Amino acid sequence: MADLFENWRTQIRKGYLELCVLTLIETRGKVYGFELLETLANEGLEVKEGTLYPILNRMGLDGTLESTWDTENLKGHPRKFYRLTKTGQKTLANMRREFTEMLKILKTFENERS
Amino acid sequence: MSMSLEKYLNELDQSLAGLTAGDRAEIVLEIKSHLLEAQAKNGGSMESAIASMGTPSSVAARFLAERGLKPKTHYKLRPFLKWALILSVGGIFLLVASLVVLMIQFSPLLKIDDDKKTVSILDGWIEIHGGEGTIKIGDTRMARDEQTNRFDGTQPLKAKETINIALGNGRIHLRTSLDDNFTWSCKVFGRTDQARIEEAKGELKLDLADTSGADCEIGIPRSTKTKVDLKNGKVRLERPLFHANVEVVNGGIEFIPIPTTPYNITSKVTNGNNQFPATGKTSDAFQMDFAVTNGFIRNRLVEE
Repeated sequence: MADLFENWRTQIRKGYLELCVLTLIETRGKVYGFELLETLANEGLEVKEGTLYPILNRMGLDGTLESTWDTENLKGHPRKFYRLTKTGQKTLANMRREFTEMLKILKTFENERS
Repeated sequence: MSMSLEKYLNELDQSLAGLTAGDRAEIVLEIKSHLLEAQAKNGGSMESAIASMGTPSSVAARFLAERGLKPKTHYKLRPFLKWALILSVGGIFLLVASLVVLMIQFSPLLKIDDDKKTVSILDGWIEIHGGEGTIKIGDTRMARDEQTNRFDGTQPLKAKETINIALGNGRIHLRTSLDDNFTWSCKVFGRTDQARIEEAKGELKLDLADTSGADCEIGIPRSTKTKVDLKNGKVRLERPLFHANVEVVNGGIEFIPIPTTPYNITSKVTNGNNQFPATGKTSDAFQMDFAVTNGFIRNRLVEE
């Protein structure tokens, strides 16, 4: 039983995590990796850094995100900031619609009871 | 397992083999940036920042997997290891095989000296002195005059009950009882707490298999089916009026029949001397089934 839940959770979280990351980047305009990790963890969505950075890297390659190095940071080391591209904005809009639709379907099933 | 930041980033860079230099630098810089910030926020420990990130190869594998690639690291070493393994296993095999050939060539597995009544197995690793009743296995000698303890007893045998005797090392001398009692009189080498007499399922078992050795005089009631299992040593059947199934691994079986009594004998010696031709089947005869792996089966009447 526990295995089924864990397996399901891993699968559903992967897509859900990408949706949350893109949403955060959209609302904040630009975000860097460490900041993303902290924000997600604060909201209870724990992600390993070893998982998040490869996802950001891939989204940069496929044109969903663009990145710039901010070297003017006072703390001493440069940070890589991510922004949504035009393509990324369209992708996020599609993802959001799809997810909303999924939630609606689930609600419909749950409401069959009453 | 602490690792410096430089070493970590170097290994990460190497594990990202397959990506362009530009891509690798981009990833390494971002991870470096993260580790420095994590260190600053966790109270200054680079060690725990690195531990939280995971090993360079596992992180690199994630980056590669997101691109649909597999890690290419350390493949250079593998063909070498494979060949080293094949060569060393092959070498060991050849060594063992040639040792076995040499052993067989120059030291007979089994030597039987009829004059001295000794059997020597595996070039003397096991030596059985029939005359003295001593056995030497490796460097351990079990002799009559060494420290022995008695394990004796008498038990009336029920109708149709069979007898089973199991012994690891030593000598068993079987005779026919004058009454319906199964009797055993054993000198056990060392302690006797592993010597047992058990009765179950129509079988009476004298179990000495877990002792270090024994020398036993046994009395078997007339016509009883008797099974004897001996690993190293000698079993002597003297004028039996009972059925016997005797198996000896290393050593021998000595059979002294009553000339006027009919016996059905089957005998098998895998390595060694067998003085018994198979006899024809006779009803009302006593069944004697003998098997020896290394050693002899001997008929005392033939000898004398």
